[in-house]
Amino acid sequence: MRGAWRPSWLVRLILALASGLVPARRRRDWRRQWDGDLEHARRAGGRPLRVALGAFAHGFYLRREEGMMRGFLGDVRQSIRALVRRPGFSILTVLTLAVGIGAATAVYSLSEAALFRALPIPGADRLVGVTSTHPVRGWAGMSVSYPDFVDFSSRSDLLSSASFYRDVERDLSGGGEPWRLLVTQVHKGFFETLGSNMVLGRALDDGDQAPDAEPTVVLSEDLWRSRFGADRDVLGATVRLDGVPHTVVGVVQREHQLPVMSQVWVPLQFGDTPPDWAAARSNHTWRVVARLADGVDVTYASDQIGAMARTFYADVEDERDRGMAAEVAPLRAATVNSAEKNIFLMMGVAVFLVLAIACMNASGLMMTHLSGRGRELSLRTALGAGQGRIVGQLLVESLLLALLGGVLGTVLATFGLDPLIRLGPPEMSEFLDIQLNGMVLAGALGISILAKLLAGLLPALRASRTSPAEAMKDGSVQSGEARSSHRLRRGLVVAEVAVSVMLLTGAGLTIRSFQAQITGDPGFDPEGVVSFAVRIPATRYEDGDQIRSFYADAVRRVAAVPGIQSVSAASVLPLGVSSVNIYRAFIFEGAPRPPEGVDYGALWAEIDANYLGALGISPVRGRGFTEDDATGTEPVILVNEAMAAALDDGDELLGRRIRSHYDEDLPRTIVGILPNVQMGGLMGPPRPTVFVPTAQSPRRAMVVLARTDMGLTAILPGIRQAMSELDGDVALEGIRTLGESHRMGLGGVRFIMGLFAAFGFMALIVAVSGIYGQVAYSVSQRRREIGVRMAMGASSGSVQKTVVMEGTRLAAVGILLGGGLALGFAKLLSSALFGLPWLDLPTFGAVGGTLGVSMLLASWIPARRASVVDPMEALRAE
Amino acid sequence: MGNQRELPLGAVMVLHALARGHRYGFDLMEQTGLTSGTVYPTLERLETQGLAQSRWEDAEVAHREKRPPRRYFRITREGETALVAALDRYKALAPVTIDGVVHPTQAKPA
Repeated sequence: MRGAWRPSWLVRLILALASGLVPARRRRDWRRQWDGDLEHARRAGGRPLRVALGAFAHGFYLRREEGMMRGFLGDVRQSIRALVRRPGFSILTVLTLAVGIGAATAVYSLSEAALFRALPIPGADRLVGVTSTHPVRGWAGMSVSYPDFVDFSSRSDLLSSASFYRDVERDLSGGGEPWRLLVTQVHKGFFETLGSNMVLGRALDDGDQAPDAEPTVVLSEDLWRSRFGADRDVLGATVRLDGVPHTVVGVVQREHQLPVMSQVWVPLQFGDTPPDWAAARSNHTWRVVARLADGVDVTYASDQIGAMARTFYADVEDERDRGMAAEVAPLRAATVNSAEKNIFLMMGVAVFLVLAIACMNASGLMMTHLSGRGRELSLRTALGAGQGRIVGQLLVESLLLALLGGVLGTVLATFGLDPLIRLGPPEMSEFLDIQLNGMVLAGALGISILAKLLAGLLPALRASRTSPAEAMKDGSVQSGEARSSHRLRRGLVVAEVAVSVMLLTGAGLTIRSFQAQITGDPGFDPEGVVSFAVRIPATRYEDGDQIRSFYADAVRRVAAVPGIQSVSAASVLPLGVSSVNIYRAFIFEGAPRPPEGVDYGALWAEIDANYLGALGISPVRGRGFTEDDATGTEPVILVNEAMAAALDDGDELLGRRIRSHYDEDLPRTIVGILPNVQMGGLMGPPRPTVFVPTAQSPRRAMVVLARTDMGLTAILPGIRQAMSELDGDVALEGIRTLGESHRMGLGGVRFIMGLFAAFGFMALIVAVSGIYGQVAYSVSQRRREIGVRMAMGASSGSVQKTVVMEGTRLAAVGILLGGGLALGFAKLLSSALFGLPWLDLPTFGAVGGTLGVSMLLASWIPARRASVVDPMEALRAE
Repeated sequence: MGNQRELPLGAVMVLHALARGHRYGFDLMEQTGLTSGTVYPTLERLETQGLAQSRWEDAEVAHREKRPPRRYFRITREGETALVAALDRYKALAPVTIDGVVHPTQAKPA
């Protein structure tokens, strides 16, 4: 076309694909007509793409008119025959595609289920949560204060109804051992907003919310079945929460249990307006649930409410709250923290890479395969098969292979997913019944079919255009055509190696980045330490003195149990299986508050004087706590090395005072620095942590740790007895060794890790086998040449050397090219990599090395085979 | 050749548009409301049947206008005869009342 206008690539692609259908002798005119018409259509204001679709029908018509179309079924039959005749190629291609499609679909579906599963109730997409954020500090998902709630819910144009709640822990007693529960305290309108369905009885209503009402409670269906044996007489019965009697008025249907972990709902009994403590602007404790108004979407509501909060907090009096904002997000069945989000992001990247490698290999195989079939195709041309017919048949073959791969991939994904989940830790079992994501399946299938068709089209056109006379010569003498197809094969090998290097490097980086995040040293020996959680009710343990004396007593009594060497009480269990982590922001005493000054966020943990001894941790510098660090003495604090590194300003830290300006404002003297012990989660680098003596910050919910040289079962009765003598209404939660906790925490992580490793391995296998196939095939195509050489007197060693040298050259070029691509790719990925530099030499080295070695093997093995055969046989073989 | 076979509606519509002087694929699509997937095969069939004729535009004209040459179609004598016959046949479909409503296009027979 000499005009200024050129059709878009999509239109050109359509024309290229359709031209395969057109009989050769009419193809030139056909193409001219379409160029002319598309140009005219564009001038006349039409959409060329829409017009161009007719090119297929046009091509089909011309083809049928030419009397060449024995029907699509004939092509299919012929293609099946062709594929059966080459089982190696067919099976390899189908398997490659199946693994790629199956893995991509299964893993995407799994991650989607884990991340974005909607609540299983009708209208769930209108249910949202409203949370506070602090964009500058990077905080999100925070609870809101009551005045915030009033502001947000006043926007009835956005939210048609709203309520708030908070989760607390209570011990349920009455019949059997006391039982620790997650209790949701709800305000008016909570159940109305959610539209909860009841199995039995009624939801909490405004009468229950009156400040002087008799305490009532709604149970979850799960609890009703497990604890009350699904007894319908439970209505009207009394249960005790922390010793306070509550009357059961209803049971909530399982699907409507919100938030998902809740087992019991009780009214806050605020009436219409909460008391002062609950209504304070500074008291950010409430979780908001709301229903979107008709016609409002989440994004819009979030923008509006966010803007409202930002305006308000831009110049709020209390500087600690300055800069806060808010966001609205759909309520989900699972809550995902940012670390887990990153994992699934990386997983998605890894899966995509496997799919890409699989597609590329299948395409490469096809191209190599077709270039090797030049003679057969030419023969058929010579026998009168039209060009269009041959191209058409090859396209049908590609399509068949892609479809078979897709079907097998779907089967793999469907039946492979459940066993895969069963291999994982028990927590994963909630995903057992997830559905495959149809969109992803269709997408993966579409991508592989397209890749396959494109890969088939080029060589098909090439092969079918070869003049029969010339192609027939192909086998006997190295004609120009043969040399060029040899060049094509070599180009393919180089390209495939290069792209594999790039993709494998990407996969390797994501895997290693993941590994770097979880193999953090716990910092102590977790075996031989038994722990359990205790929470004493505020009703009976009112002030700090009572709490202190309870835990002092508990430690003393448990320490007296035979087989126990040392006992400690602390607020946080190391190794991150605790449910509540408290973070505080610190500044040096005398330093200005933000925004002028800088603060340092840290995990806050209360530990007693025995803690370090029970865990076998010694301070890196300074001292640990002693019994003298008590109420009346100087407030002291320990920091871990991560916090020390954050605080480090060149001056000696020991002896300096820091305070948590945000919510406590009590200066404490740093008296020691502890090694990094994994607290509050296994993911990510060690968190900055500060430790304060329990005596100076008493807390009702604690963990008791006991070091023992005997097994858990041996000391358990003694512990139970000691604790029940102290207070028989207090539940002991999660009794297990720290080692066990560690393994539990690692369980989910290990599962994901295993998935990653499996993907990496799969990508490697797919890539290496693809390259091997490619190289081995090109070498086998040269058997005849090798035979001639050997007939001329070349030794088998020298022949091998020639072939391997060529393989090495191709490998070197491919790896160098791929290394360049991989650098760019790694740079691109770097934002998704954590705890790992993007230029991770071990990954680059391992990928380059593995592919290099497999290239050598791939050329050496067939070269050896070719060089040991009798030259005469090799010559006859063609 | 073969024009004794009754023309399908699509072919009649394309012939009708050709008779009114429309000459290119896109115009025919616009006029008939048919998709390109129908119009192009129909044009080929009409030409095979001798009911339409195509010719390439003068290459010099196209060159002067800096665009690819176009393939023009026009209706032949046989095509006109076939079109008239076909339209007569469609006219034979008398006005019909469906659910008590006289279909407007068929309300006044031509």
